[in-house]
Amino acid sequence: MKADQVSPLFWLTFGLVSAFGSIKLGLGTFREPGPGLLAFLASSFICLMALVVLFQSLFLKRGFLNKLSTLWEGASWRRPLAIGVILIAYIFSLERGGFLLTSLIMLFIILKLVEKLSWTRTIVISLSISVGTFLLFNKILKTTLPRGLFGF
Amino acid sequence: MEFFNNLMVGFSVIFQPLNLFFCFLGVFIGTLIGVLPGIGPVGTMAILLPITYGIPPTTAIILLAGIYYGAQYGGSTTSILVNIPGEAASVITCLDGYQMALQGRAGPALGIAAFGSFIAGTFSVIALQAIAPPLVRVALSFGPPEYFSLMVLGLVILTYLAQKSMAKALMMAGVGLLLGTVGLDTMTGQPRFAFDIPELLDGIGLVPLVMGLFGISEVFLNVEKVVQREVIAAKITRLLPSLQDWAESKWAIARGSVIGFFLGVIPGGGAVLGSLVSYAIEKRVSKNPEKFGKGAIEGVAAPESANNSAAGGAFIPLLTLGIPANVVMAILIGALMIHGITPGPMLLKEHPDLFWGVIASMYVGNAMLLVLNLPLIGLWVQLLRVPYSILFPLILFFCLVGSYAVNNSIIDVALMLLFGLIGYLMRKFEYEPAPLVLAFVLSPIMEQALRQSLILSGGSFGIFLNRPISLGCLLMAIFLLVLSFISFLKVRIKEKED
Amino acid sequence: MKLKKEVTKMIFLVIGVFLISCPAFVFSQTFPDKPITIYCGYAAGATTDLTARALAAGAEKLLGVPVVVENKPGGGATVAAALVASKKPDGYTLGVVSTGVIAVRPHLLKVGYDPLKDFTLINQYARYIGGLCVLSESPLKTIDQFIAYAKAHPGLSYASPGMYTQQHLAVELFRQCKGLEFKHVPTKGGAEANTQLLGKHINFVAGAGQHIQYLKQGVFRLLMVFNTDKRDPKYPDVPTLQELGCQDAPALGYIVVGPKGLPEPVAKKLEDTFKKVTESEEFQKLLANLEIPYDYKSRAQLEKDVLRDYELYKTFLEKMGAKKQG
Repeated sequence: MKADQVSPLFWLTFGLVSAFGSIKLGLGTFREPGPGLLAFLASSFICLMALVVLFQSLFLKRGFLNKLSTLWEGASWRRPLAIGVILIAYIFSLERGGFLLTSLIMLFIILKLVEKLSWTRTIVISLSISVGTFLLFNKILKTTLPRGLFGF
Repeated sequence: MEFFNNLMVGFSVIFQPLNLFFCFLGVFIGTLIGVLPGIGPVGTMAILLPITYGIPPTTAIILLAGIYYGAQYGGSTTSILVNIPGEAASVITCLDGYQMALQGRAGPALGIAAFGSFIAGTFSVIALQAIAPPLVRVALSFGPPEYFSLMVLGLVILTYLAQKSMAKALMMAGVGLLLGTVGLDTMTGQPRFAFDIPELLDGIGLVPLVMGLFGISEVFLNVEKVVQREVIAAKITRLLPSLQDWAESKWAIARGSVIGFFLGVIPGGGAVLGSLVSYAIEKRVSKNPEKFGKGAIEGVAAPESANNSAAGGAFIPLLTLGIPANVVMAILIGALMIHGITPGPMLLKEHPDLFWGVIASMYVGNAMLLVLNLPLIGLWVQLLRVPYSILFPLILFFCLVGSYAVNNSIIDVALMLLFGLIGYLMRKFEYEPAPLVLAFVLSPIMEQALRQSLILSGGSFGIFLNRPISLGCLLMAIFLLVLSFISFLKVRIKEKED
Repeated sequence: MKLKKEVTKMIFLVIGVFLISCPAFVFSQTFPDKPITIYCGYAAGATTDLTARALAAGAEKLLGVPVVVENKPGGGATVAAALVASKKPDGYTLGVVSTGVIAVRPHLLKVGYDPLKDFTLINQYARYIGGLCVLSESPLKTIDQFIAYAKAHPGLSYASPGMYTQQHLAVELFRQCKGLEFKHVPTKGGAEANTQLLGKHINFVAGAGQHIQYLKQGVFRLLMVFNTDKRDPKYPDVPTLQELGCQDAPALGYIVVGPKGLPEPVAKKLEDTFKKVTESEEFQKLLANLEIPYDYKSRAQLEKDVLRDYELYKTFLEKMGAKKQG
């Protein structure tokens, strides 16, 4: 499958789903637009454009025609995925573990496992970054960062 | 003559040691805030508000104002260096600024951004002084129909942002329009697409959206590469813009200043709109539009000038009528009221020293910012030498904290991550995020304006054509559409011939 | 023999009661002994936030522990309200919100709390105001002239700070009461609504507080006040909506709340502390500068009034056809 055939299909589905949602919100009339009118027009427009891109790629041979598999050629897809998963875990644990602790752990994991830095470097960098930002934002800028079960 | 008299009054105020100090403090803090992705001037000003209780009102406003326009200077730094906007208004600077950095031209990019900001900032203060009263009358005459037509014009201009596939860019604009409807509908009080998440009732935040689409996605993209980016460090050439750079940018700066200023005056417009529109216009009038997005220095000069100019312009409705042009100005109103000063038409008569003092402080502040930022360029450029494996966790971090700090809400962080993922995939599949962001900003304004207008006109669409400003914007939009269609046809015909 | 048994029972009873009330007793002795967090339902820099911060600063002095304000804006303070409702009722987590989160919002949307059960109300210190204004250059100088003009010219337009705000509701009640016809233009807040009037895009505005600055500068003229049963002392000639013989939407107030089940001694201490703070000279000056009327309600009074407002707004909103979403 070519890149420009997969992606418009995604957006087409997205557009259709949103169009449905907008209709449920109420379209109103042109003279008295309801909450869903603009959303519906936008969703329909998205569907239309998705069809255009699909058409261009299938019949006019124009657009981003690489095969799907080549998109990640020479690039690692594991690393972004790993970072993504780590970030999701971070967000879930942030409010329980508190900013300082969760950040420290996350940095540790990223630097050691993903970037494969040495132990010393990992420890030094994770500590300095998490403590540093903690001090900067909590003490100097006085923004409130999440405090976990441990009170900090 | 009166111009200079007022200026003298203002300078006598600003050159008092206390005011000078707080002016410097304000612009300094503003620059830092602008550099840190996510933490915006709004949050900082609000936090510093209590500090202002103990100082005279003029000094307080000078401090807070300094933070605001100072942040516009700092915002470009991360945009250029690491493709992450330090401030929502610096999104556009990423497009060409980062490319310039990759080509080893980070110095000139940062330099032209600083100089452009200074020129634009100073221009906006002069314009503020010279034409504030008549200008504010014009701004007031922007009612719902005028806003609608202006937004339509903005959407048409947006099409000029497209770099590759027009259909894809338009699709992204559609997505932006759609995302802009998320939240509580002003006109009916009904929640739209909020999925029972109360934080979404106020809409998707601009900061998480922008940080995610541009910042987090950039990190994902870079992390893919197995080969590290050490190459950049070797290529850094000069630190300041060359004469050629200046020659290329001078009109961009001029146009950006003017466009940014007027868009800043209109309540609801502001720096984001200004930078986006000025970039699109630069691309439109350029003889080589294809170089935009690949490191064209005008692509940095224009939006940077526009967002600083807009910051100045936003002061007009505040100082002349007590109307906040944006959220930042609303805080300034709060600050004034705490000190017992009523913002409004009488401000100039009742507190001339405050009025002119603040204006004079903006001249001084802009100069201070230039002096502050230029030497820092050398420092920032060194930052590029830091190995990416250390740099990107730091960047991730600042984005995470920044998006959290907007509303103290973990939902914003989650949103940012979601848009980071979407942005990453979008860029891999060659969809552009910029049209999405512009449409997202325009969408709520346009929709509300449309529906308010139809209420006022009782359902008749004539209201958009009866009023001169509205009609003018719509005609301009049609004209631009026709123009771009013609050039589209020209390209197709040329292709057929080849 | 029987007497001894009775006495023993009594003694056990007394000891039992003492033991049970001991924690609360101990509590009130040592409360507070660590920092208190106040969640403010509005953005930093907003008027409510400014008052919350002043409240916190004053309370800190009286209680001897840090009192920190954390902004959790969103959904008209419902985000903060839900957050407070979910916390432990130990007095260390409180919220500053508007009575709207209890009396109004739950009728319109699904909220993350039970408005009547999930909170311990502490007290109210100010209220939101409303007034009908026209431009000072308008020939209409009194509300009676206005009503006559409106009857002769149906379809006058006005801007409100938002759909179903107390100001919007008041104008609606006014409209129904006098048999008038208006075009309602909702906006995103008082400032935006005022701007519409300044630009002459609408005929009058349902001011929400920021209109005062324009009154002071002679740009607007106040024709009627609503959301109140007393005239504004600064504008003694301006009648209230009730004086015109119409029903009025009660004003929402700036209130301090805690999670349900706050121990009595703790709630009492907090109530007394905040009362003292709001009565202080500095706080009064802040309110005056921000043009917010001081309207203190004790806990008992607040509890009664909130219940009444809840039912009242329920009927108003139903009559207006507002349906609960989600």
